[in-house]
Amino acid sequence: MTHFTEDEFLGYALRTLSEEELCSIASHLEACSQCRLLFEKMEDEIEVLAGVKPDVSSLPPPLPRPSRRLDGHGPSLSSLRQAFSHSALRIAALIALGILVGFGVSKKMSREPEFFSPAYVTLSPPSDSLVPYTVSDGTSVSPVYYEQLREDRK
Amino acid sequence: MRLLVEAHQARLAALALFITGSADAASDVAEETFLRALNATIKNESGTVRGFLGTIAYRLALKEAKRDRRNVELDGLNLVRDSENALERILRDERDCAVAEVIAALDEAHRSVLALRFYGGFSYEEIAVEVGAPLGTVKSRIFYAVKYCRETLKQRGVF
Repeated sequence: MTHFTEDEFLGYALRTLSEEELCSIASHLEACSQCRLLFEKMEDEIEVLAGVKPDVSSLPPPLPRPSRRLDGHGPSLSSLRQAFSHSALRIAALIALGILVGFGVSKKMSREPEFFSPAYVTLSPPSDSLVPYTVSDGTSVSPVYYEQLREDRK
Repeated sequence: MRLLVEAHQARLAALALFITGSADAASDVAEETFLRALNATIKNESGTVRGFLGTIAYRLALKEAKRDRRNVELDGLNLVRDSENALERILRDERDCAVAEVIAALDEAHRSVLALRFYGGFSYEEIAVEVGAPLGTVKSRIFYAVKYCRETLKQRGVF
């Protein structure tokens, strides 16, 4: 019977080998008590490596949170998630209700368009005194006003 | 919450201790992890609580480690790093101290993989994603990390 090396057993213990290698080592371990002892010792050592435990009394407890429950314990993850899903449902129900109410109100309202007649404003002509200063359009200036401007410049 | 703390606090503190090398940071991370967990949005419904808490603790510890590194870089200001006496302060068991010393002596890449596997509850695939390394590299790192630790602890008479 050919035995496996320590490295191969370590790879088996850590599950870093291929499926084929894992199967052949597993069947060897079933048959070979000597290797099984070696492997069990190795597993214990790995457990020690993975089992370093800091002293819990040296660690501060997580800060207390305002409790919602009467028994004094903080809210659990599941209760928080439940509360969140409940509030989400309430919001969705309110939105749906709003849409329904809005739709109903719009149905009740008259659909006929309402026309409003435009109010025309009649402008009175400028008084006689203002006529010389009245500009016909944006591009021309009344000669009287032009003369007055020239005199002012002087 | 109390049950969660009892079941996972020590393991999360160990994970943080190996990532940060600081007892203070380790206890802070272990504490903060539970508070973050309460406010976290769970994306992976099929994941385990162990992995969920481990991920939070690992990321917090990485942040702490980066901050600690910046502090060490400012050595001129005489800022003391507490990694020298960290293990004795947080570990009461003598064998745990010896094991932790050997793990702490690993380089960062090997130590992170070992800590995530043994203390974070990560699968190899999850570690590969978390550290951004190929799966084969992750397996190789854990293999050599454990091999080194076993040999060193045998030489010291722990195993």
